[in-house]
Amino acid sequence: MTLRERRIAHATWILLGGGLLLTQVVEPGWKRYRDLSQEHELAEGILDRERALATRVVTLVKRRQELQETLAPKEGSLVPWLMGHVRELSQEAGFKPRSLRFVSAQPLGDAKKAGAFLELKLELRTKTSPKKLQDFLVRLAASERHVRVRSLTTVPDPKGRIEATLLLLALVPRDATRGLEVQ
Amino acid sequence: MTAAIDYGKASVKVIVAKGGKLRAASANVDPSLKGAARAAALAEAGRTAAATVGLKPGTRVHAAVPRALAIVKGLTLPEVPADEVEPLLRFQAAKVLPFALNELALAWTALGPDSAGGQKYALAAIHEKTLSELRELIEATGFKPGRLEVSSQAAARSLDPSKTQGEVLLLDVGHATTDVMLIDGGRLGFSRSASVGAGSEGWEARLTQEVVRSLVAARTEGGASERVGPPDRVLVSGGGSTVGGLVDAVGAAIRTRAEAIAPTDLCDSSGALLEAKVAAPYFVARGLLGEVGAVPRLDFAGRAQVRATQRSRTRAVVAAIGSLLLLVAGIGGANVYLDSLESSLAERKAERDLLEPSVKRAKAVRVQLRRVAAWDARKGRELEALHAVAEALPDEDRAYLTQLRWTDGQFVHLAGRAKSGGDAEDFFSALDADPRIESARMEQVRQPRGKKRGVEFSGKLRLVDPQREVTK
Repeated sequence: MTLRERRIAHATWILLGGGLLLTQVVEPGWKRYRDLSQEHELAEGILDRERALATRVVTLVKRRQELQETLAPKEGSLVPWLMGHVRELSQEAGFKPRSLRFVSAQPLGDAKKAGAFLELKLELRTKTSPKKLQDFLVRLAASERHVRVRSLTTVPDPKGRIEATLLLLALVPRDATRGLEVQ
Repeated sequence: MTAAIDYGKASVKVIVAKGGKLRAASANVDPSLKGAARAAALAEAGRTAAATVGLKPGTRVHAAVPRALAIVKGLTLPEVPADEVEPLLRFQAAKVLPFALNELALAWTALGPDSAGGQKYALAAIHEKTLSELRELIEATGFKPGRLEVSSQAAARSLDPSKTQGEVLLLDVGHATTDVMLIDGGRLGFSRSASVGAGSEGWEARLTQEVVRSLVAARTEGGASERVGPPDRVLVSGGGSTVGGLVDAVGAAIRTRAEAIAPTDLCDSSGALLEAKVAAPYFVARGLLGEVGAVPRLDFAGRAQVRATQRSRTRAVVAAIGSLLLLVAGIGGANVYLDSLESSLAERKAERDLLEPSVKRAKAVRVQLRRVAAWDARKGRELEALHAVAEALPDEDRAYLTQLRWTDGQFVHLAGRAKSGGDAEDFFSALDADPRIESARMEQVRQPRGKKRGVEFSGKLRLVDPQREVTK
């Protein structure tokens, strides 16, 4: 074999070896490194968030507990307690409900999942002056209790009074609704 | 083009093989010069001689290493494989040479088998510094160094093979030194340099004495000690050989007939053959260009090149092994790192699995609390609707409502009476302009039944939902 042929052979072997090294070792290794690095970075980020969330679980549960305690009576039944609150506000506003009745109870959010809270529907009918109704609504909105208006229908009469039908929603803890039919 | 240069004490000789002819030229140098001045003078003379024979600068030229500057020893080694010759020779050289091997440049050549079954070698050594100076001198002259050969070896090769039968004593008489060589059976077995030449005082008498002494030494050292009496031939060459009576004086000292000898194929710059007397000083230079026959070369440059090639090959092999090791280490390290990354990932996954119940619970509670907050944010929405409607309603004698129906998140339906359709439109325009209201549209205006005055209208409006706005 001449020197030129030997050089060509050497160069061929080097190229072949280099190519094999590149395709069989370097490229797969690099790909593995890239994939693992990305996965690691992602996992690190998720883990950091989950660690933070896991450490907050006690605080969150405590907050929910406190909230649940404010949404239900310490003693007695839930519905009369809520109705009492609504009547109290209407009296403060200067009118007396013509009727106040419990309509239904349904879970807050996804109905398929058993959440910690329920929405109770109460229907209030009254005939009063617009000012008193407004007063009642303001008192209801300002109240610390979780009761709000879902719908309101007002029909004024010639004497300046209005016939009002209010559908009220009350947020209540599920635990406090024993005995009520949940839709 | 092949060229040879011989830097002598008093002249520089150049021969160029070109166009089938050997053209020779020389230039004189002041022999009394020393050091840098002498080197400059030699370079200048070399350039002059080269220019005379048309040797272009930058050409590779072979040069003679004066025998006086080299140590030449005959060594006998046992028969060993080729790759073991060099270490063995170096080992022997370390024993026979009076200098450390790392200071010396070595050259050797096989002379053939000896009677005991071993192999005879001629080993030449010269100080690296001296060899470097010769290289620098060649470069200063304007050429690239080619072979750097011991002058006695080159001189012996200059001999016509027909004249090397039997025992031949060859003298190359220079201006300051004389190389004495004993060629036995065509093989150069002995050489030495005597510090006497044509430029020395009383040199002829001293030279004849040196020749006799050298012959005795050659026969002892060269292993031909059994022979006595004059050699078969005595040949005298070199510039000193042209001095009248010298050849006869040498012959008389050895008790035989001596012959003057000179290259016969040299031409001058015009192409005319040189006379023997003129050609005699070129004896060494002619040998540098001679074909390798019975007298092999003792080439320091070639040996150095072989050694450099071996060194670079060794370096290349070491570098390749080193690179391979580095590569393997790199791949191994990368694998270890990737494995650690994988195990770190597995650890994180395990930790996530461990945290999962807490995380699920926290997420569920957080969703519940957010729902409660969102639920709470909708308190008082009906007041917004009532305020917006009350503010947009014109005076009671122009328009009033007969019904308001509001449901959270849906349209507010309004019905009422107005003095005119324009008043009803004003009412809805005012509603539409209210920033709390997304849209307000009057849907119907009609005359009331019976003989009632004015118009009845109905329409609807939608409040801006802050939560929906955030979601957008």
